[in-house]
Amino acid sequence: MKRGVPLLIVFVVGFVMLTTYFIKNPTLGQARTLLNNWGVIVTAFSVGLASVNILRIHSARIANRRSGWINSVALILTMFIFIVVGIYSRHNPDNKAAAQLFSNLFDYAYSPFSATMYAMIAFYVASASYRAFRMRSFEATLLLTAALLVMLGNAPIAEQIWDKFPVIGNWLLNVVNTTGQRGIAIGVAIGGFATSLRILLGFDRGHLGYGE
Amino acid sequence: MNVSTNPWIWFMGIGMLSLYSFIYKENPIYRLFEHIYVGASVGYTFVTAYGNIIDQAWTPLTTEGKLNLLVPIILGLMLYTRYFKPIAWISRWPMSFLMGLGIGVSTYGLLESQLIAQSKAAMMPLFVKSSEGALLLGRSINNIIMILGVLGVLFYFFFSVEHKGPVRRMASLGRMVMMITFGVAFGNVVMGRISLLLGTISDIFGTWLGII
Repeated sequence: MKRGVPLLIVFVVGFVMLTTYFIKNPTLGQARTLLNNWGVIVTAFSVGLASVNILRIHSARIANRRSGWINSVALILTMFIFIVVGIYSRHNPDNKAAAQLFSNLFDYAYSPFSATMYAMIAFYVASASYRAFRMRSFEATLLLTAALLVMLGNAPIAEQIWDKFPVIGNWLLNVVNTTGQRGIAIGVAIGGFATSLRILLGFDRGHLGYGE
Repeated sequence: MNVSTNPWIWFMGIGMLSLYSFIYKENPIYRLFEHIYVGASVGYTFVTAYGNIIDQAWTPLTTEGKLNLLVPIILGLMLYTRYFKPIAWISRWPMSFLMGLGIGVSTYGLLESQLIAQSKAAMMPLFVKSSEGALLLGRSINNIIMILGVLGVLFYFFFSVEHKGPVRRMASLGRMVMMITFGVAFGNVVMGRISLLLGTISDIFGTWLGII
Protein backbone atom coordinates (compact mmCIF):
# COMPACT_ATOMS: atom_id res chain seq x y z
CA MET A 1 0.00 0.00 0.00
CA LYS A 2 2.71 2.45 0.98
CA ARG A 3 5.18 1.80 -1.85
CA GLY A 4 3.62 -0.85 -4.10
CA VAL A 5 0.45 1.09 -4.98
CA PRO A 6 2.29 4.34 -5.88
CA LEU A 7 4.65 2.38 -8.14
CA LEU A 8 1.67 0.67 -9.76
CA ILE A 9 -0.06 4.05 -10.29
CA VAL A 10 3.05 5.45 -12.01
CA PHE A 11 3.29 2.39 -14.25
CA VAL A 12 -0.41 2.22 -15.18
CA VAL A 13 -0.90 5.96 -15.79
CA GLY A 14 2.42 6.30 -17.64
CA PHE A 15 1.81 3.19 -19.74
CA VAL A 16 -1.76 4.20 -20.64
CA MET A 17 -0.61 7.70 -21.61
CA LEU A 18 2.20 6.32 -23.77
CA THR A 19 -0.13 3.79 -25.41
CA THR A 20 -2.58 6.55 -26.39
CA TYR A 21 0.13 8.17 -28.49
CA PHE A 22 1.19 5.02 -30.31
CA ILE A 23 -2.22 3.38 -30.91
CA LYS A 24 -4.75 5.53 -32.70
CA ASN A 25 -8.05 4.64 -31.10
CA PRO A 26 -10.97 6.95 -30.16
CA THR A 27 -11.39 5.35 -26.71
CA LEU A 28 -7.69 5.74 -25.94
CA GLY A 29 -7.86 9.31 -27.24
CA GLN A 30 -10.69 10.03 -24.78
CA ALA A 31 -8.69 8.37 -22.00
CA ARG A 32 -5.76 10.70 -22.75
CA THR A 33 -7.99 13.79 -22.65
CA LEU A 34 -9.55 12.59 -19.38
CA LEU A 35 -6.17 11.90 -17.75
CA ASN A 36 -4.83 15.27 -18.93
CA ASN A 37 -7.85 17.05 -17.40
CA TRP A 38 -7.38 15.15 -14.17
CA GLY A 39 -3.71 16.17 -14.21
CA VAL A 40 -4.65 19.87 -14.46
CA ILE A 41 -6.98 19.51 -11.46
CA VAL A 42 -4.48 17.60 -9.27
CA THR A 43 -1.77 20.13 -10.20
CA ALA A 44 -4.11 22.95 -9.13
CA PHE A 45 -4.52 21.26 -5.76
CA SER A 46 -0.73 20.98 -5.47
CA VAL A 47 -0.47 24.78 -5.84
CA GLY A 48 -2.63 25.04 -2.73
CA LEU A 49 -0.22 22.69 -0.97
CA ALA A 50 2.70 24.97 -1.89
CA SER A 51 0.80 28.01 -0.59
CA VAL A 52 0.07 26.23 2.70
CA ASN A 53 3.79 25.39 3.01
CA ILE A 54 4.77 29.04 2.52
CA LEU A 55 2.13 30.09 5.04
CA ARG A 56 3.44 27.57 7.61
CA ILE A 57 7.07 28.64 7.20
CA HIS A 58 6.34 32.36 7.48
CA SER A 59 3.79 31.97 10.29
CA ALA A 60 6.43 30.11 12.32
CA ARG A 61 8.89 32.94 11.59
CA ILE A 62 6.38 35.52 12.88
CA ALA A 63 5.41 33.43 15.91
CA ASN A 64 9.05 32.98 16.95
CA ARG A 65 9.90 36.63 16.15
CA ARG A 66 12.88 35.50 14.10
CA SER A 67 14.92 38.16 12.27
CA GLY A 68 13.01 39.66 9.34
CA TRP A 69 9.62 38.57 10.71
CA ILE A 70 8.11 41.86 9.57
CA ASN A 71 8.90 40.83 5.97
CA SER A 72 6.96 37.63 6.58
CA VAL A 73 3.99 39.73 7.73
CA ALA A 74 4.20 41.68 4.45
CA LEU A 75 4.39 38.43 2.46
CA ILE A 76 1.36 36.86 4.13
CA LEU A 77 -0.62 40.09 3.93
CA THR A 78 0.08 40.49 0.21
CA MET A 79 -0.72 36.84 -0.40
CA PHE A 80 -4.08 37.13 1.39
CA ILE A 81 -4.98 40.39 -0.34
CA PHE A 82 -4.41 38.74 -3.74
CA ILE A 83 -6.32 35.58 -2.75
CA VAL A 84 -9.31 37.36 -1.15
CA VAL A 85 -9.68 39.97 -3.90
CA GLY A 86 -9.08 37.38 -6.67
CA ILE A 87 -11.61 34.87 -5.35
CA TYR A 88 -14.16 37.57 -4.49
CA SER A 89 -13.96 39.17 -7.94
CA ARG A 90 -14.27 35.71 -9.51
CA HIS A 91 -17.50 34.92 -7.69
CA ASN A 92 -18.88 38.45 -8.15
CA PRO A 93 -18.23 39.28 -11.80
CA ASP A 94 -20.72 42.19 -11.65
CA ASN A 95 -18.68 43.96 -8.99
CA LYS A 96 -16.57 46.28 -11.15
CA ALA A 97 -14.67 47.71 -8.16
CA ALA A 98 -13.36 44.29 -7.11
CA ALA A 99 -12.37 43.44 -10.70
CA GLN A 100 -10.58 46.80 -11.01
CA LEU A 101 -8.78 46.24 -7.69
CA PHE A 102 -7.52 42.82 -8.79
CA SER A 103 -6.48 44.26 -12.14
CA ASN A 104 -4.56 47.06 -10.34
CA LEU A 105 -2.87 44.53 -8.05
CA PHE A 106 -1.70 42.65 -11.12
CA ASP A 107 -0.72 45.70 -13.19
CA TYR A 108 1.00 47.74 -10.47
CA ALA A 109 2.44 45.07 -8.16
CA TYR A 110 2.84 41.58 -9.61
CA SER A 111 3.66 42.43 -13.22
CA PRO A 112 6.19 45.32 -12.71
CA PHE A 113 7.93 43.61 -9.76
CA SER A 114 8.23 40.45 -11.80
CA ALA A 115 9.75 42.40 -14.71
CA THR A 116 12.17 44.16 -12.31
CA MET A 117 13.36 40.89 -10.76
CA TYR A 118 14.04 39.42 -14.21
CA ALA A 119 15.62 42.65 -15.50
CA MET A 120 18.04 42.66 -12.55
CA ILE A 121 19.49 39.43 -13.90
CA ALA A 122 20.98 41.52 -16.75
CA PHE A 123 23.39 43.08 -14.22
CA TYR A 124 24.40 39.71 -12.81
CA VAL A 125 24.82 38.28 -16.29
CA ALA A 126 27.14 41.20 -17.09
CA SER A 127 29.18 40.59 -13.93
CA ALA A 128 29.30 36.83 -14.66
CA SER A 129 30.57 37.53 -18.19
CA TYR A 130 33.30 39.77 -16.77
CA ARG A 131 34.40 36.98 -14.40
CA ALA A 132 34.31 34.44 -17.24
CA PHE A 133 36.43 36.75 -19.38
CA ARG A 134 39.00 36.99 -16.59
CA MET A 135 39.46 33.21 -16.77
CA ARG A 136 41.29 33.79 -20.08
CA SER A 137 40.56 30.30 -21.36
CA PHE A 138 39.93 29.54 -25.03
CA GLU A 139 36.39 28.27 -24.32
CA ALA A 140 35.46 31.36 -22.27
CA THR A 141 36.71 33.62 -25.07
CA LEU A 142 34.71 31.61 -27.62
CA LEU A 143 31.58 31.89 -25.49
CA LEU A 144 31.90 35.62 -24.94
CA THR A 145 32.82 36.37 -28.56
CA ALA A 146 29.71 34.50 -29.73
CA ALA A 147 27.57 36.35 -27.15
CA LEU A 148 29.03 39.71 -28.21
CA LEU A 149 28.46 39.03 -31.91
CA VAL A 150 24.86 37.95 -31.31
CA MET A 151 24.22 41.07 -29.23
CA LEU A 152 25.83 43.27 -31.87
CA GLY A 153 23.81 41.48 -34.54
CA ASN A 154 20.60 42.45 -32.74
CA ALA A 155 21.56 46.04 -31.89
CA PRO A 156 20.58 48.58 -34.59
CA ILE A 157 23.72 50.68 -33.93
CA ALA A 158 26.02 47.77 -34.84
CA GLU A 159 24.67 47.73 -38.39
CA GLN A 160 25.77 51.38 -38.71
CA ILE A 161 29.31 50.43 -37.60
CA TRP A 162 29.69 47.40 -39.89
CA ASP A 163 26.85 46.00 -41.99
CA LYS A 164 28.17 42.42 -41.59
CA PHE A 165 27.43 42.25 -37.82
CA PRO A 166 23.78 41.16 -38.35
CA VAL A 167 24.92 38.60 -40.97
CA ILE A 168 27.48 37.07 -38.57
CA GLY A 169 24.96 37.16 -35.71
CA ASN A 170 22.36 35.38 -37.84
CA TRP A 171 24.89 32.79 -39.02
CA LEU A 172 25.89 32.01 -35.45
CA LEU A 173 22.23 31.77 -34.46
CA ASN A 174 21.04 29.66 -37.38
CA VAL A 175 24.02 27.41 -38.04
CA VAL A 176 26.32 26.96 -35.02
CA ASN A 177 23.61 27.47 -32.40
CA THR A 178 21.24 25.08 -34.17
CA THR A 179 24.04 22.51 -34.36
CA GLY A 180 24.80 22.73 -30.63
CA GLN A 181 21.13 22.76 -29.63
CA ARG A 182 20.48 19.74 -31.86
CA GLY A 183 23.32 17.72 -30.36
CA ILE A 184 22.24 18.63 -26.83
CA ALA A 185 18.55 17.88 -27.64
CA ILE A 186 19.43 14.41 -28.94
CA GLY A 187 21.54 13.73 -25.81
CA VAL A 188 18.78 15.03 -23.52
CA ALA A 189 16.18 12.91 -25.32
CA ILE A 190 18.22 9.74 -24.89
CA GLY A 191 18.91 10.52 -21.22
CA GLY A 192 15.30 11.58 -20.58
CA PHE A 193 13.94 8.43 -22.20
CA ALA A 194 16.23 6.24 -20.07
CA THR A 195 15.21 8.10 -16.90
CA SER A 196 11.50 7.87 -17.82
CA LEU A 197 11.82 4.12 -18.33
CA ARG A 198 13.59 3.75 -14.97
CA ILE A 199 10.77 5.61 -13.17
CA LEU A 200 8.04 3.83 -15.11
CA LEU A 201 9.46 0.41 -14.25
CA GLY A 202 10.04 1.35 -10.62
CA PHE A 203 13.87 1.31 -10.62
CA ASP A 204 14.00 5.01 -9.76
CA ARG A 205 11.87 5.76 -6.69
CA GLY A 206 13.05 9.23 -5.68
CA HIS A 207 9.54 10.67 -6.15
CA LEU A 208 8.25 8.48 -3.30
CA GLY A 209 10.48 10.31 -0.84
CA TYR A 210 12.24 8.74 2.08
CA GLY A 211 10.86 6.85 5.02
CA GLU A 212 8.42 3.98 5.06
CA MET B 1 8.36 66.90 -15.42
CA ASN B 2 4.88 65.52 -14.86
CA VAL B 3 4.90 63.33 -11.73
CA SER B 4 1.99 60.92 -11.49
CA THR B 5 -0.60 61.45 -8.75
CA ASN B 6 -1.93 57.89 -8.96
CA PRO B 7 -1.10 56.07 -5.65
CA TRP B 8 -0.86 52.73 -7.51
CA ILE B 9 1.84 54.15 -9.78
CA TRP B 10 3.68 55.50 -6.73
CA PHE B 11 3.57 52.04 -5.14
CA MET B 12 4.86 50.51 -8.38
CA GLY B 13 7.66 53.06 -8.73
CA ILE B 14 8.82 52.82 -5.10
CA GLY B 15 8.66 49.02 -5.30
CA MET B 16 10.72 48.88 -8.50
CA LEU B 17 13.35 51.29 -7.17
CA SER B 18 13.56 49.29 -3.94
CA LEU B 19 14.08 46.06 -5.85
CA TYR B 20 16.78 47.71 -8.00
CA SER B 21 18.55 48.89 -4.82
CA PHE B 22 19.82 45.30 -4.47
CA ILE B 23 22.27 45.98 -7.32
CA TYR B 24 24.14 48.28 -4.95
CA LYS B 25 23.77 46.26 -1.76
CA GLU B 26 21.29 44.01 0.01
CA ASN B 27 19.16 46.18 2.30
CA PRO B 28 15.97 45.98 4.43
CA ILE B 29 13.76 47.85 1.95
CA TYR B 30 14.80 45.45 -0.84
CA ARG B 31 13.97 42.48 1.38
CA LEU B 32 10.55 43.95 2.22
CA PHE B 33 9.58 44.36 -1.44
CA GLU B 34 11.11 41.01 -2.31
CA HIS B 35 8.72 39.41 0.20
CA ILE B 36 5.81 41.46 -1.15
CA TYR B 37 6.68 40.18 -4.63
CA VAL B 38 6.79 36.56 -3.42
CA GLY B 39 3.45 37.06 -1.64
CA ALA B 40 1.94 38.54 -4.80
CA SER B 41 3.26 35.63 -6.91
CA VAL B 42 1.91 33.01 -4.52
CA GLY B 43 -1.44 34.80 -4.23
CA TYR B 44 -1.82 35.21 -7.98
CA THR B 45 -0.85 31.57 -8.68
CA PHE B 46 -3.29 30.44 -5.99
CA VAL B 47 -6.15 32.41 -7.57
CA THR B 48 -5.32 30.91 -10.99
CA ALA B 49 -5.24 27.37 -9.54
CA TYR B 50 -8.51 28.03 -7.68
CA GLY B 51 -10.06 29.12 -10.99
CA ASN B 52 -8.89 25.86 -12.60
CA ILE B 53 -10.46 23.79 -9.82
CA ILE B 54 -13.77 25.69 -10.06
CA ASP B 55 -13.91 25.67 -13.89
CA GLN B 56 -12.61 22.20 -14.59
CA ALA B 57 -13.73 20.21 -11.56
CA TRP B 58 -16.34 21.80 -9.30
CA THR B 59 -18.69 23.39 -11.88
CA PRO B 60 -18.82 20.35 -14.25
CA LEU B 61 -19.26 18.05 -11.23
CA THR B 62 -22.11 20.00 -9.64
CA THR B 63 -23.91 21.30 -12.73
CA GLU B 64 -23.29 18.55 -15.32
CA GLY B 65 -23.00 15.64 -12.89
CA LYS B 66 -19.60 14.49 -14.19
CA LEU B 67 -18.87 12.08 -11.36
CA ASN B 68 -15.49 10.99 -12.82
CA LEU B 69 -14.16 14.37 -11.63
CA LEU B 70 -14.43 13.10 -8.06
CA VAL B 71 -11.26 11.08 -8.79
CA PRO B 72 -8.89 14.08 -9.32
CA ILE B 73 -10.61 16.01 -6.51
CA ILE B 74 -9.99 13.13 -4.08
CA LEU B 75 -6.43 12.71 -5.42
CA GLY B 76 -5.87 16.46 -4.95
CA LEU B 77 -7.14 16.35 -1.38
CA MET B 78 -4.95 13.31 -0.69
CA LEU B 79 -1.90 15.56 -1.25
CA TYR B 80 -2.72 17.30 2.03
CA THR B 81 -2.39 14.10 4.07
CA ARG B 82 1.33 14.85 4.25
CA TYR B 83 0.54 17.21 7.13
CA PHE B 84 -0.69 14.24 9.22
CA LYS B 85 2.29 12.00 9.91
CA PRO B 86 0.50 8.64 10.41
CA ILE B 87 -1.21 8.90 7.00
CA ALA B 88 1.42 11.01 5.21
CA TRP B 89 2.19 8.08 2.87
CA ILE B 90 -1.20 8.56 1.17
CA SER B 91 0.13 11.74 -0.46
CA ARG B 92 2.37 9.49 -2.58
CA TRP B 93 -0.64 8.34 -4.61
CA PRO B 94 -1.47 11.70 -6.24
CA MET B 95 2.27 12.40 -6.63
CA SER B 96 2.60 9.08 -8.45
CA PHE B 97 -0.37 9.96 -10.63
CA LEU B 98 1.29 13.24 -11.63
CA MET B 99 4.60 11.45 -12.15
CA GLY B 100 3.02 8.81 -14.40
CA LEU B 101 1.14 11.45 -16.37
CA GLY B 102 4.28 13.56 -16.77
CA ILE B 103 6.30 10.57 -17.95
CA GLY B 104 3.62 9.55 -20.45
CA VAL B 105 3.41 13.00 -21.97
CA SER B 106 7.11 13.87 -21.88
CA THR B 107 8.46 10.50 -23.11
CA TYR B 108 6.47 10.77 -26.33
CA GLY B 109 7.51 14.41 -26.71
CA LEU B 110 11.16 13.51 -26.14
CA LEU B 111 11.09 10.73 -28.70
CA GLU B 112 8.98 12.48 -31.31
CA SER B 113 10.10 16.10 -31.27
CA GLN B 114 13.65 15.77 -29.98
CA LEU B 115 15.21 12.42 -30.79
CA ILE B 116 13.50 11.50 -34.09
CA ALA B 117 12.83 14.98 -35.48
CA GLN B 118 16.30 16.30 -34.59
CA SER B 119 18.05 13.18 -35.92
CA LYS B 120 16.07 13.48 -39.16
CA ALA B 121 16.96 17.17 -39.42
CA ALA B 122 20.65 16.33 -38.92
CA MET B 123 20.62 13.99 -41.93
CA MET B 124 21.37 16.52 -44.65
CA PRO B 125 23.45 16.39 -47.84
CA LEU B 126 27.13 17.27 -47.37
CA PHE B 127 27.32 18.91 -50.78
CA VAL B 128 24.37 21.01 -51.89
CA LYS B 129 23.88 21.64 -55.60
CA SER B 130 21.62 24.07 -57.41
CA SER B 131 19.01 22.91 -59.94
CA GLU B 132 21.62 23.62 -62.65
CA GLY B 133 24.07 21.26 -60.92
CA ALA B 134 26.44 23.95 -59.60
CA LEU B 135 27.91 23.44 -56.14
CA LEU B 136 26.44 25.85 -53.55
CA LEU B 137 29.59 26.39 -51.50
CA GLY B 138 28.08 28.40 -48.62
CA ARG B 139 25.25 25.98 -47.94
CA SER B 140 27.59 22.99 -48.32
CA ILE B 141 30.02 24.43 -45.75
CA ASN B 142 27.11 25.12 -43.38
CA ASN B 143 25.86 21.54 -43.76
CA ILE B 144 29.32 20.09 -43.14
CA ILE B 145 29.69 22.26 -40.01
CA MET B 146 26.25 21.16 -38.78
CA ILE B 147 26.83 17.44 -39.32
CA LEU B 148 30.33 17.44 -37.79
CA GLY B 149 29.13 19.70 -34.97
CA VAL B 150 26.22 17.42 -34.00
CA LEU B 151 28.51 14.38 -34.10
CA GLY B 152 31.06 16.28 -32.01
CA VAL B 153 28.50 17.16 -29.33
CA LEU B 154 27.30 13.54 -29.23
CA PHE B 155 30.90 12.34 -28.93
CA TYR B 156 31.44 14.77 -26.04
CA PHE B 157 28.64 13.05 -24.08
CA PHE B 158 29.71 9.55 -25.13
CA PHE B 159 31.53 8.02 -22.19
CA SER B 160 31.56 4.36 -23.22
CA VAL B 161 35.00 4.77 -24.81
CA GLU B 162 38.02 6.66 -23.53
CA HIS B 163 38.37 10.13 -25.03
CA LYS B 164 41.65 9.81 -26.94
CA GLY B 165 42.78 10.00 -30.56
CA PRO B 166 39.98 10.82 -33.06
CA VAL B 167 37.31 10.55 -30.32
CA ARG B 168 39.09 13.24 -28.31
CA ARG B 169 39.33 15.49 -31.36
CA MET B 170 35.63 15.07 -32.13
CA ALA B 171 34.74 15.66 -28.46
CA SER B 172 36.78 18.87 -28.36
CA LEU B 173 35.05 20.04 -31.56
CA GLY B 174 31.75 19.32 -29.80
CA ARG B 175 32.88 21.32 -26.81
CA MET B 176 33.72 24.30 -29.00
CA VAL B 177 30.32 24.09 -30.72
CA MET B 178 28.62 23.95 -27.32
CA MET B 179 30.57 26.96 -26.08
CA ILE B 180 29.38 28.99 -29.08
CA THR B 181 25.83 27.70 -28.48
CA PHE B 182 26.00 28.78 -24.83
CA GLY B 183 27.42 32.12 -25.96
CA VAL B 184 24.48 32.63 -28.34
CA ALA B 185 22.03 31.67 -25.58
CA PHE B 186 23.87 34.04 -23.23
CA GLY B 187 23.64 36.88 -25.75
CA ASN B 188 19.92 36.26 -26.26
CA VAL B 189 19.32 36.22 -22.49
CA VAL B 190 21.18 39.52 -22.10
CA MET B 191 19.16 41.08 -24.93
CA GLY B 192 15.90 39.81 -23.41
CA ARG B 193 16.77 41.11 -19.94
CA ILE B 194 17.87 44.47 -21.32
CA SER B 195 14.53 44.90 -23.09
CA LEU B 196 12.83 44.17 -19.74
CA LEU B 197 15.17 46.66 -18.07
CA LEU B 198 14.25 49.33 -20.63
CA GLY B 199 10.57 48.64 -19.95
CA THR B 200 11.01 49.10 -16.21
CA ILE B 201 13.11 52.26 -16.72
CA SER B 202 10.32 53.61 -18.91
CA ASP B 203 7.83 52.83 -16.11
CA ILE B 204 9.94 54.62 -13.49
CA PHE B 205 11.01 57.69 -15.48
CA GLY B 206 7.97 57.90 -17.75
CA THR B 207 4.81 56.59 -16.10
CA TRP B 208 5.83 57.53 -12.54
CA LEU B 209 8.15 60.55 -12.65
CA GLY B 210 7.07 61.87 -16.04
CA ILE B 211 10.61 62.83 -17.07
CA ILE B 212 10.64 60.93 -20.37
